[in-house]
Amino acid sequence: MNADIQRTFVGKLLVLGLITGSMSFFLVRPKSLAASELESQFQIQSESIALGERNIEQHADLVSRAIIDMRAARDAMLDDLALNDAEQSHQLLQRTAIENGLTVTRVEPLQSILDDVQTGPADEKAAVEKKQFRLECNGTYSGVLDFIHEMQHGPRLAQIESFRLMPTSEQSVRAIMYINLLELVEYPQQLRSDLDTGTTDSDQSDTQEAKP
Amino acid sequence: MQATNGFYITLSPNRLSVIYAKRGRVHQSESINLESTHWNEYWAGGLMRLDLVLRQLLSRFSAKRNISATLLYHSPTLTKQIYTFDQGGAYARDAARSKIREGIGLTDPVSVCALGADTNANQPCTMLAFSDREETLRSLYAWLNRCGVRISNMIPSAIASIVTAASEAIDLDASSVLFYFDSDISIIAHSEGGILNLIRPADIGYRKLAESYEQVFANNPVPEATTAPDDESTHSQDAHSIATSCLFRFGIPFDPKEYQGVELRSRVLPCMAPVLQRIGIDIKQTIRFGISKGPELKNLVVSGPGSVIPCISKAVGEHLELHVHPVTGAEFFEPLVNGGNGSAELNLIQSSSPMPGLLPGIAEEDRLRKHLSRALVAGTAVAMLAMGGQYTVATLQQQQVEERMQLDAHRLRLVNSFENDRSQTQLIANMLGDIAGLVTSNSKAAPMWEVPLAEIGELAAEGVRIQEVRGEQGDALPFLLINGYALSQGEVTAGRVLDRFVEKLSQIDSVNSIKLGATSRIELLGVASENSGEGWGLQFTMRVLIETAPSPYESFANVDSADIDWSTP
Repeated sequence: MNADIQRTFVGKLLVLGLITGSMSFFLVRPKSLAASELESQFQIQSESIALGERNIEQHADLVSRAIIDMRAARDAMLDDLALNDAEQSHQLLQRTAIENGLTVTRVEPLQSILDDVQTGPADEKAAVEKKQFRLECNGTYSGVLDFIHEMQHGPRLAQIESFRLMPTSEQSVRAIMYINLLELVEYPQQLRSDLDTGTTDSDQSDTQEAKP
Repeated sequence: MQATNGFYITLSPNRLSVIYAKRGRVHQSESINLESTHWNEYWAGGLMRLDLVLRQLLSRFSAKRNISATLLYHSPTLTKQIYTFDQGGAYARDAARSKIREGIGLTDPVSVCALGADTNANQPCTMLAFSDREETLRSLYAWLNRCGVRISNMIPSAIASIVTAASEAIDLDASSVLFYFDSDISIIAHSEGGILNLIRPADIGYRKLAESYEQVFANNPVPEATTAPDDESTHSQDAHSIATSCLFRFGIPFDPKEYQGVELRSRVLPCMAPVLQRIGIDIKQTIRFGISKGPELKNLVVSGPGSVIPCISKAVGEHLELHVHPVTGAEFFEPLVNGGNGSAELNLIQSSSPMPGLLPGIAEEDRLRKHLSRALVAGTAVAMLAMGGQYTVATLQQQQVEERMQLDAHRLRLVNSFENDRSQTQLIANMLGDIAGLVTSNSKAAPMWEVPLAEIGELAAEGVRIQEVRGEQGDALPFLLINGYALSQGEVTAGRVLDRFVEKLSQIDSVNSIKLGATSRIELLGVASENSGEGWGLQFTMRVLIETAPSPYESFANVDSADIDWSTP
């Protein structure tokens, strides 16, 4: 073959090869890769759907029941640990005592202890405050017992830390009690919103002050 | 039959013709007679004198641009050789090429082809090798290029005749010999069993016989208008054309005939005698020495354009002991018509296989360049198609997958929603557990104060007086610290009353244990015993350990969130 023709041919061949190679590399290859990647994603999605549907079949009732139960538990917990200010707590003790026929002679808030824990996916804060009160009252023995029972089993989480009962007459006693009231002052917003909406909203990571 | 379209240009010493063939038929033909006496001058001038002539001919073909043509030419410098090999195929081609190269050198182009059927490697094969001078081919190529003709093949007319003769000889049986008689060449061929075993060309054709007429007419000029009634395409009649017309009209004048005052038998036949004699000897010698084996020969079949010369069979078979007759269909041959039946041009047009030809080196390079360019274009097109196909397939695949994913989107949303609910449930369970743990750590187990206190109230009326009750959270269990005294009741002593009090307390479920402290006998002023009237009692202190009620939050804090039963918060 003539050297000139050969040189020209090889040159054209190289140029065309470069062009077609470039097109293949920059145009066709990414398309093929994208297609195969999409295919793999579809395979994974199909397997995921199949597995998920099996899970739904097996656990749907359990999850929905758990949601309902937890919602009730949460509501009970929030009621039980409802936040009160100092005046409200004071009135609560007085009102409970009066309702049980006792004469309150002294209510004294003592100390308040705040404790918290990090919880949830974003390590949000949940905090409880333990408020201690000293309560002095007079009344019948049965009234005192009713007061103790109501404080320990009432709607609020309260605990009689210690007490002292001294009879003042045949019908009455004087009681001095140290009472702890436990209140949830802070908890993740997710705790309330997610169970109520029934959907995921992981962005709602703000904490909220508990409302009485 | 192959349907061949295109132009066929024929250049012979006395004629230049152009034929346009379409679907294997002559669509249009134009020709101009040339002065055969100027033949050598044409070549010496690089065929430039024929430029105008060819352009004139081509101009008669309307709307024909970019003409691609096959040239059939009478070559003054052709070299041809016929070789027989024991093997055919590539071996025979290479061997034939090498052998002719030994004679002509390395510069001139060479072409080879198998005569008759192209046999395979294991059968004997007859090869035709031919070559022409590079200068001759270049002159032709340049001439055609100057006239705007793109040449595809250049075939020497002698080669076309040999190939046609070989193919006709193959069709004859072994008892027949073919005598192909063309204008400038005669060929004797014989085949047996479809295999060509003899082909011998001789450079003598009916042009020599026509020259006899020409020679006679040169001495007795004939008026032009009356001499060439058969050739309608010619524009000017020269002596050779008139002579050729007379040859095909009167043939070999064995009988006394007169034409325009010329007695043909006495004047023309003596001029033809040496030619006929040479032809006759050629045939006789070839049959005698060339065909020595096989069945007895009976026929001599005269073919080619010369087969329609009147009395030619008688002339060539005069001294042969063979039945001489023209080939079947010879009566339809039109040797004087451009592209007529039996002509080399029509054979070429109707040939089922491409006729071998020659091209100058420059044309070969041009052809090679074009082939390479086409190969590049084809390769690029194939690559583009492949890439396009791959791209399309990938796109379609992507669309299909997307459609399928779209179809599954609803199911996926359900699954995702469920998984979210599930993970959220676990998350909330964890939160509740953490908060329950926090509450549990900040509140001790609730002492069951009220149950023993209620019992104490009941028991106090039975001879026990309580002075003070304290409730405290102990290290292990909460306890009640009771200070009081017991009174004797009738015959029951105070000690017994105290025992009974302790016994009853210990029977309370929520009481874990009772630790009685110091007791002392005391005088109770103003308090009279029911029997003795003395005011004595038994002072005591006791510690009553009390059970605790578990915190409801404790179970939340300790149970795994995935398994927790939240129905009992």
